[in-house]
Amino acid sequence: MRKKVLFLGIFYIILGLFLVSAGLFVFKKTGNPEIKIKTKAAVMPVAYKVYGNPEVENGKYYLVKLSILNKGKGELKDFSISYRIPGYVEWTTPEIYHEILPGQTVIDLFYPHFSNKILDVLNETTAQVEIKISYNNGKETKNEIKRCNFQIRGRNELLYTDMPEEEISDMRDLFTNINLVCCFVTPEDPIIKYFTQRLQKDVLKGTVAGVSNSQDEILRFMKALYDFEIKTGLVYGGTLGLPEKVGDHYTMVQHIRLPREVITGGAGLCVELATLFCSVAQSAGLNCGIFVTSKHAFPAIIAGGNIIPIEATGIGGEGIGGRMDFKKAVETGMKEAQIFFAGGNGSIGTPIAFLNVGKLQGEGIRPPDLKDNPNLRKKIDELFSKKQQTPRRTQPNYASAGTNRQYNQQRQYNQQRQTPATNYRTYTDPSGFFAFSYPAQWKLAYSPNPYLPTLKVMAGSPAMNKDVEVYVFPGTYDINACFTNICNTLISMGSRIQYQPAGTVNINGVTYQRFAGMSSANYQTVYWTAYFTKTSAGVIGFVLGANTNNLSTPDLITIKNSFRVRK
Amino acid sequence: MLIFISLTAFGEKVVLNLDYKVNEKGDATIVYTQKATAMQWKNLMQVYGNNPALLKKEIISSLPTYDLYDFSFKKNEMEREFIFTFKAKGVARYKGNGIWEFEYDKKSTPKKISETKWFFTNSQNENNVIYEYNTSLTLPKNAKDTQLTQNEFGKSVLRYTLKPKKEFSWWTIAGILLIIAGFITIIVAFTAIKE
Repeated sequence: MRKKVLFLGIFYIILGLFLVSAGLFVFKKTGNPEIKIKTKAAVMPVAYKVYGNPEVENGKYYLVKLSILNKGKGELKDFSISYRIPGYVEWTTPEIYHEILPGQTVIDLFYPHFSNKILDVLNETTAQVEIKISYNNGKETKNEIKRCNFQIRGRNELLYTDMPEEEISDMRDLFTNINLVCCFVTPEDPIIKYFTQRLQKDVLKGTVAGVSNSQDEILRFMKALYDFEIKTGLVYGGTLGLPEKVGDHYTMVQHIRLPREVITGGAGLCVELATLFCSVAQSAGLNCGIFVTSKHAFPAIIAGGNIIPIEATGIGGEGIGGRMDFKKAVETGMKEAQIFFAGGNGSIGTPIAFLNVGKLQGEGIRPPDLKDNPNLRKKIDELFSKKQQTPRRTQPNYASAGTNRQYNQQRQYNQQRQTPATNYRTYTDPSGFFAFSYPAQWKLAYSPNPYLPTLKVMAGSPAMNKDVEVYVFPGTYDINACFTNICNTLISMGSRIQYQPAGTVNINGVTYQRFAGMSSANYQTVYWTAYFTKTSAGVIGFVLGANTNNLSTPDLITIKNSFRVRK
Repeated sequence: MLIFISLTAFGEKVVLNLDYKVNEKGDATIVYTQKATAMQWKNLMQVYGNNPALLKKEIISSLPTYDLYDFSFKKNEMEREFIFTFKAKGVARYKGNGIWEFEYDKKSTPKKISETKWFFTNSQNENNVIYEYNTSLTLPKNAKDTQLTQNEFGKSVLRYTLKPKKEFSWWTIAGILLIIAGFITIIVAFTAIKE
């Protein structure tokens, strides 16, 4: 009996050891991560330095936010996270969390260090961020890779907000990225530096504006720059300043040329003229600011406790009612600054921000590194050699292409103004890819723009206040890339374009992707809606345009409803 | 750790109070209160009065290193005070071996109230408005060895020790009980043999 009890005790111990071993090694509590990934929808190449800096604005410009909650009952050990963006950023050094306790949450943010190679992206491009995760859940080591898409916008694009449309409730929500305007102020650009040096040497004949706070000397510098812009024929490039309401939508993307492109291109929007003014002044050692409102932007020099604003668009242009002299431009800037600080008005709009460029750039909102370009230096030389000449006058023409051929076509249209008729003709593409009806009195032009070979045919009203353009991109199926290609070509020819996707629409049984926007060139604004679809031949699209914000006229509706493509 | 609230004040001081209560998992409940002067209150109500979601968006945007949820908003018009309460995950970071770190703004001035209670103050001049941030931090009651230091990245942190509770599986507990029972049985058996 006693022996039996002894054996029972030994059995208990053996069974107990077995259970302890099973508990420690077989039925061990394991960790179980619940991973949530939040990726920014898009990044702007011009701000690539900002995205790599976790110190900027308390870290708000991250690309990926990873939230890891350990939902298991055991620890997660050696939780390692590494990121890469194929083609742009190699695998990062893993961030290792040695232990994540049950119920604990870890937040990991990815600030990608892009190189200036990203500035080569001219069109919106889809990129992918890959996240390599490795951990031990207490039983085994697990590895996984997660992937998320995001957009890399074109080099010249500024997204004024990254707030989802459903969250936007206030004017300020449309400008959450407004500080990134400072990335377009490029005092270290070799071309801007060269321009500034030549201005200091050839125009100012020496200056101490950057090293003294003498208001007279600062004003002399500002006057020299402003007058030089006028003398070399730089003009205010349009009435569109900052994003405006188009239809029922706010446009949140704006194409902004770099200061080097503005000075050598000869025209700029208000914000472009402001960034140019600031770039040159900063390059000369001055600190600058930019007043930004819902409608306008203008620069200022910050000297000690003083702000000297100037209406940079005062350079105007002969085509838009002349120019302000320097004194008037400063007076106007002063008045606008007063209105800004008093809360704005209908003329200059609602104040959004006064950007202290030097301060913000010092806090990490840095401009991109731009390469030197001998051709642009040559253009700068040409500007200085012609500054004594009469300012050039731009020939008013219809399209931004500015070709004589187009100009002549427009003249022909204007000469042939007729009373509108109700009958329509049908145009059928010789290859049979598309067909559409258009008013009989409208004129057709085949491949009218040599810079846009994808524009196959255009039909315009006699008064040239409405038209339809048909584009064909053979062998491709990426509608966004095709559409961006058109925009960028027009921008490179001097147009300013604002647009936004406007959903899909079915026309004659075919689904089209729709974009709504407006373009301006040579003081004309065109409102348009574009329809693009994929076919067996590639991407085909047509654009209906008018010089008023009414695209619901019977003739344009008829054209739209008659458009057919061969699938 | 800083929340920037855009507020049109007239060269005044704006006082913002943040109260962090950190739990054993490193998460926190944060209460944000602001008591305003008459003019500030008017401006606050103009901006946020009927749209507290706007303030929520600003708070989320200004605290990207946390995961925020469970927001609630109360305002006391008589006292010109509003209270915003929310929860945050990932506020303190676990370094292993019972060591935790709470990162704070290096411009803040820390003050120890007790082992588990700290106070941080920070003033910033934004466009001639002085923003005073008062942050009170309450650590879990078992936290000890609190000290101000810098982490491996040179960030200012408040380090404290809080050993995580060790939990065994039922298998292990049952096994230990059986081993104990076995030893007792053997002892009983030997005692009986000797007798």
